[in-house]
Amino acid sequence: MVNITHTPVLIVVLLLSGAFVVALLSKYLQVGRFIFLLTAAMVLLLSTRLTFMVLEYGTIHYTLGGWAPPFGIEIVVDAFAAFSSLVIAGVSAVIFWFAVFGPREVNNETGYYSLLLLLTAAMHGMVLTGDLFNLFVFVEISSLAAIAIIAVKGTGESIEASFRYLVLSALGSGVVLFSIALIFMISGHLNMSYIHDALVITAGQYPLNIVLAVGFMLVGFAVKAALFPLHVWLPDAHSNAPTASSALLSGLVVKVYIIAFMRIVYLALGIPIFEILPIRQIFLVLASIAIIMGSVFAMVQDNIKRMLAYSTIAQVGYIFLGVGLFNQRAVEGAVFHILNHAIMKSLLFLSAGVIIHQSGHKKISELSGLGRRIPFTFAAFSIGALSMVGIPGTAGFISKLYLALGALDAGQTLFAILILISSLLNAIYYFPIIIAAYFGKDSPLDARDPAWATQLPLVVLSLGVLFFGLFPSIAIPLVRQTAQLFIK
Amino acid sequence: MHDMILEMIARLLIPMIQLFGMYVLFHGHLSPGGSFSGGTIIAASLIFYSLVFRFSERKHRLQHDTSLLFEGGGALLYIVVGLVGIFFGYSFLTNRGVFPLGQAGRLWSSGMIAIITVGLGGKVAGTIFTLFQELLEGGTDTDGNH
Repeated sequence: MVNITHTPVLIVVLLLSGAFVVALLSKYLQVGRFIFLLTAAMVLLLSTRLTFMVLEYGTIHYTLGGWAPPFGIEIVVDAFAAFSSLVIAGVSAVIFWFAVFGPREVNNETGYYSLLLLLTAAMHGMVLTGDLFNLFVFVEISSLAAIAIIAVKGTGESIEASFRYLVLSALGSGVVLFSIALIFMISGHLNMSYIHDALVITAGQYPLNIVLAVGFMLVGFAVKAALFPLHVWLPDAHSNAPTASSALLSGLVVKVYIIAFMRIVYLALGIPIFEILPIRQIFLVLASIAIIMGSVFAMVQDNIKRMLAYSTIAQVGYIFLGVGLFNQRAVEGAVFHILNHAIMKSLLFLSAGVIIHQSGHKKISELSGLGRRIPFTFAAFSIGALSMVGIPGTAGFISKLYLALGALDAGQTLFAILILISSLLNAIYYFPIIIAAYFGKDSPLDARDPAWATQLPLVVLSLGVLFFGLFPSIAIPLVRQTAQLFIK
Repeated sequence: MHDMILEMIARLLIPMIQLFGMYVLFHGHLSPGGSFSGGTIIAASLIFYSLVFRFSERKHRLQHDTSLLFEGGGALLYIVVGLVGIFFGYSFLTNRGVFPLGQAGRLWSSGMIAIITVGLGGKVAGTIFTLFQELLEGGTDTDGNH
């Protein structure tokens, strides 16, 4: 079996070896930091190369260990996998820079970097793999690493939050495993394309298996992706983690499970599953509630990181809404929102972390007048907030536009109105912070902007928000191909 | 506190336990067992040793850094063995064609599987022993000291 490129497997291997090497370098902190950042940079290069290869040659298949697909593990890099891998590599590289040069929040630094690399490796593995059990292994690695990077802060709240996350996440993993077992039972394969071929023949004979398997899969991934009624772990977990962890968890980790579920649907279960079972209707109803309730909960928060965490619940709702609407433009909007939300929510969490660290306050009511003391960081926060609301010229506008157009294409005007209302709700809780910070009464605090190395990630992410708002056409080829994979 | 009986029994048992652990480890591809069970047995002997022979004194047990080295090194060995396949022009983790396969049923008969098993055995032993040490030390305090 000859593979045309080793790039997909090298991404995961490089991150894993980076994680194990960095963990051993606690005595040589500078070397550890250097290797940590070097790994992220190399993975970004490899992901970019992979994306260009996929655009040029189409889907790339890679078989591990020289075993042909039904037995060996296969990596399937289609447009969606390449796109997701690039988003993860890009955003995580910026967050890693912040983890090194931002405020110190953890004691065992090399251990923390090792966990971040391990989490990123699992996320890349999850979006690249074409094997259902391999996917489960990566789901487990990412869940455990995600829990660890919350608990690493060591405060009582963060340990409590990570324990709650552990319980619910373990429940989700168990349910996903059960679903994989049910699918294996009637298909006899773990490779997704072989499952698809087997299910075409056998699914009709075992309708109960399919219903149970899809139901369990849905619940398992919905817990991990924090779809509305199953989101209870998210606000505590994301608001009590160290800043870099919050950005990584809110920006990337919750979305990776949606990507994994979407890949299982179109690679393994087949799109007709949407007609057989009411998955779309479930998505539409729960996503609508999530969009409204996430914003309503966010409005009443006084802790800025908690507010951002509740806002994530609403934004995850957008992605599920796009998948539920299930037409070309809505899915394009959902996929584009994966990218946009990863950039803008990381930006918001990182700038909020800097604001909290520089001012010593984490309550929104205490941030009045700080925009004049910490102008640079607040400018970055404002760009992220404007993008969240969906002001034209920012990335958030593009994905909301596509989602709204998709809703109109589907003939569901209600959901287009819902997106408008939600934008207004976002404005209600984001704008007062900005207005109070710049025009409120002057703050007695002697806070100032941090060093340039801490601000660099904020600059990069702010430029990213503006870039994808002004030139969305750069990302459109991949997004369009992804939507076509899904819609067929 | 010295306990003559305990120490004599431990001196007799620890080599046996370690030998049995090695047997389970090296025969992982032939008989039930392998890296997880073999590594755990070896770790059990190390835990036994540090429980019997005054574990409070640092010099009498495997250092924390050493067990961490085994933990990271075992996993790295797995990755390096996987990369050998790429260097020979095959896929990641290729066994056939890269490593000598030997005669079926003999001890050296599985190519890279034996190497991986030993590496992972070291990792499992290191992990179990690190967990024990962490429990012993009660984790780190807020300043990051043990």
